[in-house]
Amino acid sequence: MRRSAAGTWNARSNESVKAAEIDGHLALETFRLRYADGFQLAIEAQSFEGGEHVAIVGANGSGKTSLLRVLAGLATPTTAASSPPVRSQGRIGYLRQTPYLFRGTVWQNLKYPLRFISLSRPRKIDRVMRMLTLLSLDQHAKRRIETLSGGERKRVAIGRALIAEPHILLLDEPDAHLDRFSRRVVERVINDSSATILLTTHDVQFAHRVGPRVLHLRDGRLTPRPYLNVFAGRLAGDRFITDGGLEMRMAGSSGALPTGTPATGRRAAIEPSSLVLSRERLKSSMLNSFAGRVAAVQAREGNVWLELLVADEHLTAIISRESYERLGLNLQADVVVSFKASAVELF
Amino acid sequence: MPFLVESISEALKLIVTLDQDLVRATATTLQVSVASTAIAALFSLPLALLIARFDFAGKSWVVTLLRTALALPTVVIGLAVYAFIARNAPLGSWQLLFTPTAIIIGQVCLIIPLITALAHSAVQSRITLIYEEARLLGAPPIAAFWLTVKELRLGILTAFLAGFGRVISEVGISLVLGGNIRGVTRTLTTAISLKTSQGDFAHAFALGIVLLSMVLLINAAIRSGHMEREV
Repeated sequence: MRRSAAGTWNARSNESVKAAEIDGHLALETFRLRYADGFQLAIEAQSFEGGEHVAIVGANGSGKTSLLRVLAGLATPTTAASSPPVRSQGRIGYLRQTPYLFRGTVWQNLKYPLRFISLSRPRKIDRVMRMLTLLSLDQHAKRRIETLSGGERKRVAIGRALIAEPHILLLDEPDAHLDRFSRRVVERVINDSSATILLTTHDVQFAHRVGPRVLHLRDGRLTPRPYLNVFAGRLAGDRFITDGGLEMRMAGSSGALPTGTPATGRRAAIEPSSLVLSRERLKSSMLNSFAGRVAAVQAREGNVWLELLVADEHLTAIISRESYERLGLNLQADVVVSFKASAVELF
Repeated sequence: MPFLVESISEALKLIVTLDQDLVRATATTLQVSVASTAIAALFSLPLALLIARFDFAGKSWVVTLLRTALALPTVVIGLAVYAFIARNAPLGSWQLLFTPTAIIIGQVCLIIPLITALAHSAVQSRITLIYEEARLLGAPPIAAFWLTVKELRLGILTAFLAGFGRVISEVGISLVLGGNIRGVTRTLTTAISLKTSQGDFAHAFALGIVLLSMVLLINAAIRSGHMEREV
């Protein structure tokens, strides 16, 4: 997926490397990385399309930084089908969790990567100016790095990683230690970038805001996604309307959200265990009740995982085998899904 | 007490009037110290950067040996070099003994471990970080290396100044290898030693004041470097 937005930082323009030939595709072969303390990063083969944004969520010590270091070529796996296990098309940019900013000013730091690409001086200056604007650092161009706050430093580091327009960008916890304003700026920069982005974070909600594809890293292994029912959509009073047309009631209203919270481009998530299934509408306190049908059934981990088609949205519900049999469910069966307004988590 | 006051006041007069012995000893000291620090730096800086940047078997032993070498007495180094450059020694035909060059050779041997160990300590925690950062931003190896040195310059400069401070105040090597020849190999420290033994305390004090002033300047330079780093 290649995102673009007018007036934003997706200008992989004709002055840079032949973008048509280098699409930022990243392929990772199965590899293991063992540490002396016994921790092992065990990654199965993965493929990331050019322009795709992927967020990797994991707790401290789950192997997020190690994974990005392997992708950046800074760490060598102990075992891999081939060495190195990463095949990438295009330049790679990497933002460390604690980036090192060089002595000097914000301007000098942002300009540094441009020394190594073929670009006229006015174009370099133009790029730095645009990056300063994008990062809301216009007023700080001449400030020395040591006088910046933590959030400002992080923004400079992100800008410096982006400014040479790498085809693949690896961001290690770009949201760490940021105030709300800086987080919003960082989110915008990431969402507007046309590069292939792999980022790590602790924050599931941040992950869903910046990465349509979210992977979960637990104990050194990648699993599909930490949230099962995540919907993109918009706010309308006390309702959240998904892009697929599902209109769900939330606890409180959008008016209760902090001032300046945008109504569009939001995400809502519902835990599968919060979903109540029945064959007919229930008379209950649950404010959300939708008719749908069973689109897929899978026995997994001792339970039954159901994929339900409601309006144009897919919901995943997890119920016990006994409940599945008692409800007499099967493929294409009609079903009613209910859940409380408070089960809708907005971010 | 009157003796001390008298000697110091006489010493200050010698400094103000630019006493010839004092000026020559100061010039010789600066000449050999600057040369030995510059030559030692040529070896020490690459050595320190290589040790800090790369992991290899026995690395910790190399660092331990360097630190041990800091404690080598200057007269022992003087003696070791003497064994090579004395008239009947392997390099005796080069006629280096009792020349400023001999002092420089000895002082280079003295401060190579010092500058290497200090520069290594100053850069080891950040050298890989900075080099990798520059490489990831597209810098070719030489540009990344140059940026790394620039970023770590204060730690490196401090190591050089510490080396300079060490050679400017040493006496063992200058005495054993230089021979304390007036106007040729007489340095501030060997002159102090001689004047004290001759009972010429005013001259000894004057030399000591000049030497202390120079060491003070070096420490002030190191301190200002650290203050800049802390900003």
